[in-house]
Amino acid sequence: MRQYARIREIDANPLVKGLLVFSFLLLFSSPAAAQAAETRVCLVITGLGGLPEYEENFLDWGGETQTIFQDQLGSKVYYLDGRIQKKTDILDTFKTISSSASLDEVWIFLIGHASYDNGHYKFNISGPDLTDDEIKTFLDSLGDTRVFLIAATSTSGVLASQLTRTNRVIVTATRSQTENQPPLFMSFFLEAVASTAADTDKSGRVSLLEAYLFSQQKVADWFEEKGRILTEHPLLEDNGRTRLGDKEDPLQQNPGTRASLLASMAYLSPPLERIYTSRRAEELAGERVGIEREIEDLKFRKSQLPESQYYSQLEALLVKLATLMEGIEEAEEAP
Amino acid sequence: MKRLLLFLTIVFPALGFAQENPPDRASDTFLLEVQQLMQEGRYERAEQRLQNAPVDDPFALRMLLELAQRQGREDETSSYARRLLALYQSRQLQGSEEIAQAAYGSWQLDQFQDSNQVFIEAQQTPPTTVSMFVDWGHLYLTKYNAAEAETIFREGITAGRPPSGYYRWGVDAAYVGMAQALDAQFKPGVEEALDKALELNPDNLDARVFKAVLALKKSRWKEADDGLEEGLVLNPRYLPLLEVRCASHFLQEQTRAFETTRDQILEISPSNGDLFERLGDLAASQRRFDQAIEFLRQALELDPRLDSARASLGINLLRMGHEEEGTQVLETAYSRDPFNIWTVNTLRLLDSFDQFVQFETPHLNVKLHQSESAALRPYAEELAERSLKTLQQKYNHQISGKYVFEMYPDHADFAVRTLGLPGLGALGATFGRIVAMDSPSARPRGEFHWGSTLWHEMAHVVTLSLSKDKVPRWFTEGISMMEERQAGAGWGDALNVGFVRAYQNDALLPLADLNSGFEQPKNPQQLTLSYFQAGWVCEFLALQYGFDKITAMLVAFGEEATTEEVFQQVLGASIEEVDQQFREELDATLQPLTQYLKELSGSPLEGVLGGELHPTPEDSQPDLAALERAWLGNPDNHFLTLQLGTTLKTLGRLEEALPYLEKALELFPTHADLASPYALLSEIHEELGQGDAALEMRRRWWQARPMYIENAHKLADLLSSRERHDEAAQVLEEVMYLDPFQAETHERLGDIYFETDHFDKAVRESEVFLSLASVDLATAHYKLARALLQAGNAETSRTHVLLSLEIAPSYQEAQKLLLQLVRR
Repeated sequence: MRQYARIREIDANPLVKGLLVFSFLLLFSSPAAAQAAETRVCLVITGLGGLPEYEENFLDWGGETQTIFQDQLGSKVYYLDGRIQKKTDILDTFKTISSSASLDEVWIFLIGHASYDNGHYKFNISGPDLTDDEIKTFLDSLGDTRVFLIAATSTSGVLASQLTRTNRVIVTATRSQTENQPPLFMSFFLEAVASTAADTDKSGRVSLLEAYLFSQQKVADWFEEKGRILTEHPLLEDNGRTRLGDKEDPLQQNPGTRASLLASMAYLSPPLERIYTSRRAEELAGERVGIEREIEDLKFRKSQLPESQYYSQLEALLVKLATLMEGIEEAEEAP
Repeated sequence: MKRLLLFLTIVFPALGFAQENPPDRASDTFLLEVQQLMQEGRYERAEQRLQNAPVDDPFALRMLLELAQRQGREDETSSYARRLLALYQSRQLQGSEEIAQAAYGSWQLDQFQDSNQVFIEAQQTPPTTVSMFVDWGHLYLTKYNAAEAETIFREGITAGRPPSGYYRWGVDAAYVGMAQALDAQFKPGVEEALDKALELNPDNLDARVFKAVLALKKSRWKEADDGLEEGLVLNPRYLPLLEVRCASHFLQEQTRAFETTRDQILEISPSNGDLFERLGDLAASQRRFDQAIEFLRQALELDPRLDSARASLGINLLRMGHEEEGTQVLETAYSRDPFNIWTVNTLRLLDSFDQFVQFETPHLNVKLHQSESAALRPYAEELAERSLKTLQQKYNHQISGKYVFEMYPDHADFAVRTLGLPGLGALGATFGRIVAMDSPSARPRGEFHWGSTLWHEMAHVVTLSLSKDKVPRWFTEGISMMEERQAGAGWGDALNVGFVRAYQNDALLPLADLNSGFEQPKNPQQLTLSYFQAGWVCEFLALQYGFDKITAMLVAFGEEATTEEVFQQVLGASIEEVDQQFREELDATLQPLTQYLKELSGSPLEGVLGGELHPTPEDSQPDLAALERAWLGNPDNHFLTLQLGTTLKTLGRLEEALPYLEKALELFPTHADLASPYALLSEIHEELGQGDAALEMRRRWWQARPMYIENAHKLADLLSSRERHDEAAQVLEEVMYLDPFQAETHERLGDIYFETDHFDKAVRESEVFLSLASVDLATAHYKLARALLQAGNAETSRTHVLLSLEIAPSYQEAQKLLLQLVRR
C-alpha cells in the first residue's frame, strides 16, 4: 500500500461571507488554529482573594487558564498575580503587549473580586485598583487587533457596554454593577474547555461562544439546584453589535447569527488533527471546507428565505457534506 | 323571676359605676334594659321602650338600627345609620364610644373606608374600651382582613370595659370576634376563645352560634343542636341561631324541620339572604357543592347586595368545573366589592390559566403550566389514568363525567384554589369536580413524591363519587393513604418515630373523634398523625373485615347513614368496639418498637439524639468505649445500635460496623432517611468493593423510601453495569415522580430504552430530553431522530436530524442517520 504524505487538516471555522463588515477580512485571516504563538497573546491577571478559599480559587483558575493558552494553544502568556504585582506592573505589561508587532489576538482574563465605586469598575489588586478607564485605554491601544476579554469578577457587567466595539468580545460574569457577589462563572468556563458537552456544534473543539453558553447554563443550574436566587447573569458582547445574556436571545431568533459571531470563531482548544492515508480522502477533505461555508452562508440567510426553501436547501447541503464525509471514511477504510 | 335574676347578674355588672347622664342622652339603666329586651328577642317591646329615648341618643339609635336589621327592615336600617352619621357630622358625639356608633352607622351604609376613618378617630379619643374595638374588628372581618381583625379584638380585650357608663359589647364579645378571626386564618385557639367568651358571659348568643357552626362542620350534630337549643331558650328569635339551626336540619337531611325553620326565619325577615348564604357556606364546607350553589343563588335572589354570597357562588361554580359562569360571577363580585381577597385571588388565578396547557384524557381535563407541560405531561397523564382505572376496578365504581385536574408550580395558586375548604391536604386536594395539587417544582427538588400524591387524590375522586360526597373526612383520607401505600413500593408515609411516640404518649385520637384531627386539628402534628392513623385504620379494616367492607361502608355513607350506623350495618360492630380492636393491633405492632426506640437517659447519646433518628455529627462522636458499654446494656435499642455502627464507620472500621447497622435496620426498617442504616450500609459495601451487596442494599433502600435521587442513580448504575437494563429503567422511571425536570435523567433513560429496543419509550424520553436540554441541542435532536426512525416515524425523524445538523453540521452520527433516511 502506498503511503501518502501526512497531510494535516485543520477543521474549518464556520465563516460567513457577505454582509458583515468584518467577515471578508476574517474569512481569510482568522482561523484561530492557524495562528502562530507569537500572534496570539494571553494576559491573565488574578486579584486579591480576601479569604483563603477565594484566593485559592483565583490562583487555581488563573493557573489553569495559563496552562490552556500556553501548553495547549501555544500562545504567549503573561501571568500577573495581583497579590504581588501592582498596578504599575500591570500597566507596564499593557504597554509591552500593545507595542508587540503583528498581533492577531489578545485574550485577557480578569479573575478576582471587583467593586463599583464612584461610577467606576475597579479590579481589586494590591495597592491601587485597576480601573475600567485603564483597561479601556489598553484595549483602545490595540487598535483593530481582535480582543477577547473575560472579566470573571463581581460587578463586571458594567464593562460589557463600556468596552464593546468592533473586533472585540467582552464576556462578563455578571450583568451589572449591582451583582457584587463573587461569581462562579470562571469555574464552569474552565470546565467547558475540557468538556465534550460544551462542544455543541460537534466540531471537536470548544469555541468562546460555546464555553460562554455552557457556563451560563451551569451557573443557572447550580443556583437552581441549591435553591438560591441567581445572583450572577453572565453577558457576552460580540463585535459591538450582538449581546447575549439579555431576555431577548438573538441565537433563538435567528440560528444563523451564531455563525456570524466573533466568539464562535475563537477557540479555547486546539483543532482536531486528522491524518489521511489515502489520496482520495485527502481530495475529498479539501472539498469539505467549501460545503461547510455554504451551509453557514445559508444559515445566515435563514430569515430571508421561506422556511420550506431554507430547509430544502439545507438538507441538500447537509446530505452533500454527509456523503462526502462517508466517502472520506470509505476511502480511508479501503485496502 | 329567673329573667330578673339574670338581668341583675349579667346586665348590671356591665354598668360599672352608673353616672347621671346629660338630658339629651338616655340613662345607662334605660339602655341596659332595652339591651336585655333585645337579648331575649322581645324586639317589639324594645322598640316601644326606645320611643321614649332622647331623639339624638347615639346608643338608642344604634339599638333601633340593630332591631330593624334583626327584623329585616332594611330601609329603616339605612335611615338610622344616616341619623348616626348626621350626629357625627354636626359634632354632637362625644368620646370614643359615641363616635364609634357613627363609625358603625357608616359601615352599615357600606361606606367602609369612611367607617374605618371614624373608628380611627374614636380610637384617638380616649378613654377607649372594648366595645368600639369589637365593632371595629368586625368591620375588618367583613372586609376579609382577619389578621388585622385579630389584632383589634386583642386590643379590645386589653382595653377592657369602662369603669362607668353604658357600652354595647363586653370583653366576651371580643373573644367571640377573636375566635372568628382565628378561624378565618385557620389558626388554633378558636374553641378556647369561645369557651372564654362563654365563661365571661354564658348568655353570649354569638358565641353559641359560632360554636354550633364549628360543631356542624365537624358533623357533631348533637353537640350543635344542644347548643342551639340552649341559645334559643335565651332568644327564640335570634336570627343567626335560627339560621344555623336551619342549616343543621339541612345537613342532617331533616327535610320537614328544615322547611319549618326556613319559613320561620323568612317570616321574621322576608328578604333574609343571610340564611341562604350560611346554608351555602356550610354545604360547601361539607363538600356538597351543587347544593351550595343552589343556596347561594337563592341568597342573591333575596338580597342582590350580598356580595360575599356572590363571591362564594363564583368560587363554588369553579369548584364544580363551571369555569365560564364562575368567572362571570366573580367579575361581578369584584366590580361590587374589590376588597374581597378571595375574589381577587381567584380572579388572578383564572387569569394565570392563560399560561397553562390544557388537554383531555379519557377521565380528565388536565391543566399543566406551559413551562412544565412537556416534561410532566407524559408521566402525569399516564399515572392519572392508570390510577383511576385501577381504583375504579378495585372499588367497582365508575366515576361519571370528566374531572378537572390541575398541577400548580406555585403553591400559592394551589392555596387559592383550595381556600376556604377546611382540612384539605397541603400538597393536593380534591373537591367538587376539581383535583388540584402542587407540581414538583412547587417544592424543593427531591422532597416531594408527586406520583404518590396524585394517586392519593385520585383515590379521593373515586371514594367521594362512590359515597356521593357524604364520606367523612377521616375515612376518605384513610382510604387515600392506604391506596397510596399500595400503589408503589415505598409510596406514601411509612411508620415513623413520631407516630410511635404519639402512641406511647396516648396522643392518638379515638376512632369516634378521628374526624376532628382533620377538620379542627389542635396543631399541625395532630393533622399529620391523623392522616397516618386513618390510613392504618383502613388497612386494618380491610385486613380484619375484608376489603369489600370498605366499599360497602362507602356505599352506606352515600345512603345518608351516620358513622355509627355504617359501622353497625356493615361491620356489625360499634365504632368503639372497632376502635378497641384497632388499639389491640397497635399494641401488638408498636409495643416492641417503643422499646427499640426508647430514649436513653444517662447514655452517651443523651442530649445528642434528643429522640431524633439522625446520628450525631462527626465532630461530636460519642466515646466509642462508652457507646459499647451502653449498647451491652441495651442491645435492642435502635438509636444506640445505629450510633455504634455509625461511629465505627466513621473510624474506618467498616467490617465491624456492618453487624450493628444490619441490626439497626432490622429493629426499625422504616427508618430510611439519609442517615439511616440503608444509606450507611450501601456506602460501606461500596467502600469494601462488595458490589452485589451494595446493589442489594440500595435496592432495598429505594424500595423503602424512593425519595433520594442520588441513590436512584447509583442503583441504576449498578444495575446497568450488570446488564439489568429493565430494572435500571424502572428505577429511573420512578425518579420522574420526584423530579421530572432533569434533562440528564431523561437522556439516560432514553438511551437505555433505545439500546433495549423499547423505541416508543425512547421517543418519549428523547422528546422530554429535547424540551429540557439547554446547551447541547444537537445531541437532543439527534437522539430523538434516531428513536423516531426506529419507532417507525421516519418523516419526523428527518426533521429532527436536520435540526441537529443545522446546529452541528459535522456531527458524524447525525450525518449517518441523515444518509440512512434519504436512502430509504
